[in-house]
Amino acid sequence: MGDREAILTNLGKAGKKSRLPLPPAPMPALTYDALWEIFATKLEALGGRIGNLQDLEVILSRPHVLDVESATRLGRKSGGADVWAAEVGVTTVDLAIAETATLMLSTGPGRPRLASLTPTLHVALVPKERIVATMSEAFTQLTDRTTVLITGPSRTADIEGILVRGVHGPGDVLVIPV
Amino acid sequence: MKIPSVEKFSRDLATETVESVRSASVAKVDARSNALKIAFDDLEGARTQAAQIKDYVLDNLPNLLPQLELKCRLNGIEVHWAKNASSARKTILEICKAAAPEGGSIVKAKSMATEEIHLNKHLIKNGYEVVETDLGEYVVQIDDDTPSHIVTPIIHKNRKQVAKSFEREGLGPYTEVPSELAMQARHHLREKFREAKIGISGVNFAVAESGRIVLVENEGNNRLSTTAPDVHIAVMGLEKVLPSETDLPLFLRLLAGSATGQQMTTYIHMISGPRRKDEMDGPKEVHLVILDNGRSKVLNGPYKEILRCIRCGACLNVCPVYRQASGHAYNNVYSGPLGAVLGPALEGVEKLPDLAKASTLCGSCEEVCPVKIPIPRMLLQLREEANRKGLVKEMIPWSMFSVGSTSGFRWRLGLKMLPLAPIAKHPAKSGWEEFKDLPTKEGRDFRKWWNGRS
Ligand code: SF4
Repeated sequence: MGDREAILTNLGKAGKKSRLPLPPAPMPALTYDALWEIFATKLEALGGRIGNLQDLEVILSRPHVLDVESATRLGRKSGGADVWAAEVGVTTVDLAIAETATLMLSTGPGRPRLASLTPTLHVALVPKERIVATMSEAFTQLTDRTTVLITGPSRTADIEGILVRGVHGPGDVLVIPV
Repeated sequence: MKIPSVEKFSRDLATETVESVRSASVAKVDARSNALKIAFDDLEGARTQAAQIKDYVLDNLPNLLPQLELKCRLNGIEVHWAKNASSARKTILEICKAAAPEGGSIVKAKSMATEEIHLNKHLIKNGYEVVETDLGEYVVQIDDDTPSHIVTPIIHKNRKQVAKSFEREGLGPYTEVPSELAMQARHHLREKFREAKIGISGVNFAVAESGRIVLVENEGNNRLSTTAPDVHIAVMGLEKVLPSETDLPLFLRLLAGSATGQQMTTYIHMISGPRRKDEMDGPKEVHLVILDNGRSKVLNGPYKEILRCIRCGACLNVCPVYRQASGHAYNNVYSGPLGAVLGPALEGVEKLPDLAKASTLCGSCEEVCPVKIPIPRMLLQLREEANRKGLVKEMIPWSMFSVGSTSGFRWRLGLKMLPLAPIAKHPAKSGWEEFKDLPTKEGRDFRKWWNGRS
C-alpha cells in the first residue's frame, strides 16, 4: 500500500459536521481619501513611507533601478537592472488594504516575483482607486496567480527582541498613489 | 545517556539564559494582547470561529486532502504523501537528487515540520549543504544548537553570543549592534539564495479550494527560499489545510497578533504553482509533501484538538514553566504547553512520559490560544495515561505542581506556600516569582476552571 492510501485509510471516513459560515464582514463606507489616510498612518507606524510622483522621478534617475513595466506604463523611461544587483524595485500593485497598510501584489508578465524582494527599496505604485478597507474585501479580488501580501518593510526581532528592518527583504517601502 | 527531566534541566540552566527567555516572553505577551485588541472587536468570537473551522477541517480531512491534491496538481504543484518521517525524508531526497544530482546548496526557510522529521541531517549526510536562512535559525545552525522557541528560535541567546558566532564564522567584524549583525547575515545569505538550486519550506496554510500554499513570515528569507531556486519543496503536516480562501483573513490576523503582536505579518506568500510561461522568475518546480507522521493516529484519539494548532507560540510565551525552563528542557522539537501535548501525542506517552508534568495547570495557555485548544485538560489526561501505564515513578521537586494539582486543596496550599517554598533559594528565582501573579493575570482562575472541569 502506498503512503497516500495508508494515510487516507487511517483517516477513515469524513465527519458530517457542517461548518459555521464566516460572520459577515461589513465594509465601512469610506471615501478614497479617508482610506488613504488610514493606510498612510498605519504604513508610517510600520516604518514605511508614502510618496508622490516627484519622488518617483528622483528615484528613476538613480542607477540600479529594477522596473520592468511599472514606470513605463506611466510614460516614463524605466530601468532594467539585474534583479540581484538592483537597489530599487518598482512594482505596480493590485490593491492597497487600508486596515493593515498591506499591499496585494500578484505575479505575471512584466511582474517579476523578486522585484519587490531583493532590492533595499521597494517602490509600490498604487492606482488611487485601487484601495479597499479590509483584508476580507481584498480577498474577494484575489486572482489565481501567485500573490504576495506585503505589510511594511522586512523585519526581524530575533536578536534580543530588538526590531531590525531590512534583514532579507527591503528595509524601505515607499508607496506612491498614482 | 539518560535524558534529564524538565525540572533537572531547568535547575542547571544559566541565569543569563533564564533571564533572556523570561523577559522576551513577558514582552511578547504584552504585544500580543495589544495587537489582538486592535484587530478584533470580538476576539472571543474570532477564536471560537477559528476553532470551529479547524475542527471542521480535522473532521473532513478525507475529503479536503484529496481536494487539495487535485487543485494543486491543476496548478502544476506536484503532491507527495508521506506516512512517516523516514518516508518523507526519502521522498525529499529523491526530489533533491533529481534537481541537483551533484549536491550543492539547499536554502531552507524555518519549518517545524522539517525539524520534526530531522531533515537537515539526512540531506547533509547525502552530500548537500543545507543552509537555514531565517536569522534565528541560522544562528542555531552555525552554533550546532537547537531552537528554544517555535517562533523565535534564539530567545535563549543574547547579542554578544550572536556577535561571537558571526565573528567566528567570518561574517564580518565583531559588533554587538543588532542591525549590523542582521546586515552581516543578509550579505552572507544572499549568495546562498543566488546559488541554491533547491529551496525547502514548511507550510502555514494550504487552501483546498484553490490549491494554494500559504507561507507567513517577517524577514523575507522564506520568500527568497521559495522564489529564487529552481525547485521549491514545501513540507506540510496534514492538518494545515483550510477549506477556503475566504478563511485566510481570520487566521492570518489571529496568527500575526498571537505570534508576534503584529496586525499583519510582513509577508504572506500565496503560491499558486511554479513559474508560468509568461513569467520571468519563480521556481520551475513546486512540490508539496503531505506529512502524517502520527497525526492520523492523534486524530482518532483523546488529543485530537492539539491538531488545531497554528504554531503561534503564544502558549509558550505565557507559560510559567516554559519561562523558567526554556524550550530546550522539553527535549522535543515542539516545546512549551503545545509541545507537552503534541510531543507525547505524536510519539507516544511512553517516549515522553515526563512532559505532561511540566505544567502548573494554571490555564494561561488555553486562555491565549487563538484556536482555543484545551491544553490543561489534555495535560491531565496525559498524566493519567502515564500513571496508568506505570511510566511515572517519582513525583518530586518541580513536580510539586503536578502533585498539588491532582487535588484542589493541595493546589491552593501550594499556591499559598509558594513564596516561602524552598524554591526561593533557586539561583534564578526571578523566573519563579511570576507564579504568584499568573493565575489572575493572564490565566483564568485555576480553581474556577477546576470546579467547572468535569
Ligand atoms: S497550542 Fe495554541 S497557543 Fe500554543 S502554539 Fe498552538 S495555536 Fe498557538
